[in-house]
Amino acid sequence: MKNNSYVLIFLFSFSAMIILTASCFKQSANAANIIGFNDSIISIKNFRKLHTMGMVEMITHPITIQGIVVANDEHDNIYKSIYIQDPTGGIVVQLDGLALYQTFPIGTLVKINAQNLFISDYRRMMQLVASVDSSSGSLSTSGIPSPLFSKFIKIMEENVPVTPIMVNYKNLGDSLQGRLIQINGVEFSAMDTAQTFADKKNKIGISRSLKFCSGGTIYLRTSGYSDFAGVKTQKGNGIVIGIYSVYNAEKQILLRDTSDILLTGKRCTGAAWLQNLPQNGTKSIN
Amino acid sequence: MFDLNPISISNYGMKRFFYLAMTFLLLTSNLKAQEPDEPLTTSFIEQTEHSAEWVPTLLNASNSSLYNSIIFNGRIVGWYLRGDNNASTVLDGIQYASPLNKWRFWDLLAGMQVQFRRTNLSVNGAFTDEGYFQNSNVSFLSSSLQEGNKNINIGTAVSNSIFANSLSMRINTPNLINHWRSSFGLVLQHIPTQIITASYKESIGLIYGLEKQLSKKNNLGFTFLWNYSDQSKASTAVREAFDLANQNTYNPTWGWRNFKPYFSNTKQSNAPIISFRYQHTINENNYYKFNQSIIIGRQSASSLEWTQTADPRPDYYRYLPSYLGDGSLKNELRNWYLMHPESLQLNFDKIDQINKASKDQRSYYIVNQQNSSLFLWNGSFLYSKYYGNELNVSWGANYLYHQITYSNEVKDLLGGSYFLNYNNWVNDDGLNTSFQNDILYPDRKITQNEIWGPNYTMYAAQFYPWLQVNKNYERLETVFGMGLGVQAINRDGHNMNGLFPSSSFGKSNYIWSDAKDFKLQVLYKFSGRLYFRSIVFAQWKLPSVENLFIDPAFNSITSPFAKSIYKNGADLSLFYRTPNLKLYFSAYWNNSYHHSISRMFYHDEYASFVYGLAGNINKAYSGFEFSAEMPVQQNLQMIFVSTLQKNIFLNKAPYQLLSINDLQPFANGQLHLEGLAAESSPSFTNVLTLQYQPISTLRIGVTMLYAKQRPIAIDYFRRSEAVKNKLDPYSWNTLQQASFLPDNTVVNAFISNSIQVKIASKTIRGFTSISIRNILNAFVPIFAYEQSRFDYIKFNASKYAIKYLLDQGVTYSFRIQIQIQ
Repeated sequence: MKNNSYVLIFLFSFSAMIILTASCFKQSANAANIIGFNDSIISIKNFRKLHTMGMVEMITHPITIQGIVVANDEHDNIYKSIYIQDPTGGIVVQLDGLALYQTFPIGTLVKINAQNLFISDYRRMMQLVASVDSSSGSLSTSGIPSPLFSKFIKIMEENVPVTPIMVNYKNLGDSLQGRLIQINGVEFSAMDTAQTFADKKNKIGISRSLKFCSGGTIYLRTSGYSDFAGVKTQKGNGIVIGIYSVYNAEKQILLRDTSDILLTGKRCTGAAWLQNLPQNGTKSIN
Repeated sequence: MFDLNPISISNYGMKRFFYLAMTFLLLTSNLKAQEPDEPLTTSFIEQTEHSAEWVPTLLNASNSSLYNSIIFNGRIVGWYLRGDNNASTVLDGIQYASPLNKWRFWDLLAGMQVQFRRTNLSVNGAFTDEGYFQNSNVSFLSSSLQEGNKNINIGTAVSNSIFANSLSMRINTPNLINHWRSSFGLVLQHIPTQIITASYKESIGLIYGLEKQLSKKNNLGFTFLWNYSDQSKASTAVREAFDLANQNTYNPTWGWRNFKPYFSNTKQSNAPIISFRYQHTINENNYYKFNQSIIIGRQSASSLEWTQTADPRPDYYRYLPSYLGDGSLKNELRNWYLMHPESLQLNFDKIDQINKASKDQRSYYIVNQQNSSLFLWNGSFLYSKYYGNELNVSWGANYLYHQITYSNEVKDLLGGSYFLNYNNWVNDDGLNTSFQNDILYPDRKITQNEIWGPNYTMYAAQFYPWLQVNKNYERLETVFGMGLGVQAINRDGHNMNGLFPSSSFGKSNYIWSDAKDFKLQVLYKFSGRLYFRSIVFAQWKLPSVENLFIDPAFNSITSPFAKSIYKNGADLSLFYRTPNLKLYFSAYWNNSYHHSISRMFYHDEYASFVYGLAGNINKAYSGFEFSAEMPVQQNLQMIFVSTLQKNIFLNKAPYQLLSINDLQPFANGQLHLEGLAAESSPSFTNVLTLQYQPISTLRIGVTMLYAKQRPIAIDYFRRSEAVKNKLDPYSWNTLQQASFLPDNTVVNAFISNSIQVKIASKTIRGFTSISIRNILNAFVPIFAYEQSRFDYIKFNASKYAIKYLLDQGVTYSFRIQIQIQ
């Protein structure tokens, strides 16, 4: 009996110590206590392998992925979703909420418990969603409901540096989906220079063609709701940073902000401008 | 004989004047002396006992069972006398109804009304010696002192309701030097911050009265009344949120912050009333009196505001399971709320974090405080003369000058450093300055406790002279009254907003309005027991700010539907009164024309905030009232009250939807309101009260209330012609029809006891009461309404569901009061 009392006292003291100690730590408001997160994290590359294009897969097992937020809705070019990437790949995560950038700013390392979520694709762009519905004849998806963010997503760290991957046209492929990329030596086609990124007045998105001097075209897709939709496209040549995306066979890049685009060099009518490409702050992919 | 009440008019106390003015109702018996009939004081109750809120003083106030039943039992089911919930209050002879809004008279008295003598005028009491009043439902309060010996009253009440927990004290000193009398009162109310009722309250009230009998003919009095209060506000929510929270007192406007409850929706009051009254008796048939009061101070109300960020409200429709289409996700979310009830409250820690983490620590969320700085001057004058016992002529005037400055103040930046002085309602395309609240100081960063947003002063002046003539005959009493009023209102804007630079800044023109009203009342005595009364009236009322302006917060532009409300009506009543049986039956009908409304709401079809304006709305109120009061057995009394009400809109009303950005019309046409319920009072209400009084000091009572067909307050604008044209007939009929709340049965009970002991030369009286309201813990919405926001795209009525305020369920209260004399 006495031993039991000691055990109880010890347990009580230990519990109190844990509680008091825990309360002394500053806890991020975004970092809620999550149950259901395990440490068996798989890479996003392997996670993407679970999906077959055109199909929908429900994640029935406790699978966790971890990645850094590389794009969000801060400038309204992205809507109800965030893009996360790890060193192996990226993916778009649909979240049914607004002002996601305030909860998931760029550089936030998040862990996502994917159990009971779905992998699907929209025009071949792979996405992680909370529900799918095909009752109308076409597939519609919805994101993780806002109140359940903390159930599925745990914020591990903030302000993690994000570096874009420098790629050229021939490297653009589905393995880059959802990743932050940098393309160099590009310029808008003549028809798309000095045009607005999108139709701000009528809220209509527009794709502007970006030409690689080395050959090839990628489309810069901008939402009509983005806060830079009314900004004019630049005439020069230079670099563009953005999220690699696809729309069926069309290769697209999404700007996060106008600071992602720097086309101030001479258009590619000669070879001299090639010498001015930035060499630092990026890494190459082969 | 059909005489005046035998109260001598040579006695000139305040109380006696009150009775004098009621002479058209006070009748005496001509039956046998050993069984006198009750005087017919149908319209009046004088309540002197300091009772808990829902302990009826039925034996003391047996003349108005109907009014008592509504006061003590009606609130829970939204039951209002003749459907009218716009009861007004007269304090010390001054009518405090104001043409200006956003101030709360009752908060000036909070907790102190128990210190007053109270008289309730229940049914169309247009004629009193307090003046000439237009409303049919008036409470008279008097801070004047009661005669008698020096005494001290101490009382306390404890309850699980947010309305109680108080300590009160009053010291009456009737014999100060030189014929001065004084009275000091104190009321403290304290509700600790609690999660169960989601509330807190701190209130301190002081009253000091000083009166002097200058001579036999003159007396004067001063009253200083001050209340400081700070309390949480209840909030409505959709039924789904109540169900998820499993709590009738669920309030989505509070949340956790640093492990403590934090309330965003609060209200404060800090405005003393200083009043002065003087009464001069010229002779036994002739007197006048003069009342003045000034209120200076501030009232405020706070709420959470946000801009360019996610909606923080935990009960926002997108955050509830019903919004989700997927069944399993719906269940997952429902289970999440059940497991994490804190998710149904605001998360202030997260809000703080977002504000702190934003660029320059700009606050996207703030707690905003709306301030109303009050300067209210009210007065009344009354002259009365009797010509014999048969004719009384009274005339007088009510007048006021009200000045209220409205402003917003950042009460809490919630972790941020500043808030931008932008108008968050407009569509900001970034190309103009329309979103600037003050274009003279654009992009101003507002820090804690600074003023932002609309800032303006409204001025109103009223002068309302009236005349009243009472003429009595042997079996007939007649009263004729009329009033003529004039009013001027203008607005002075203190900042120039980007939306309306020319009409937001500076003084506007005066808007003049006039009003008139006429009333005629006859009371016929068939016998000492049976009386018949009839009232007819017609009124053109003075409009209020809400009727006149589209939105005075942003400009001085008047509503296209600004018009004076016109009312007319009649009342036919029968009274049967014996000492053991009191019956009352009344039939009434009132029509009311030219009501208007102005609402700002988000319109899904236009993806923009709009002003919804409607006018020329006509309503009809009609019904029957019945009450019976009789002994069942010795010491057991039964009171039965029943009302049948029909309160409907009479017509299709014209409306406009205006863009909030430039007041250009999006739409106009007619609203299909005809035949719909115009008020939310139940159509049919029965109350049965049994009161047992085995000894004179003990009372036990049980009340059963049944309310049927309680209309849900409708949203006008979804019933527009434009919506009708987009729907098939079946869908339109479903949408257009008003819906009703479930019928309610509520049982209340109380027990009260009094004792009296003598210790030395002191007499000590004690009063105790215990009451339990809603004993059966019935699910009872106090009120319910359709939201202004509606799905104008798919017309799904359940998308923005009905909002409720629920009764908390079983509510108990214990009250004790000690009087030392």
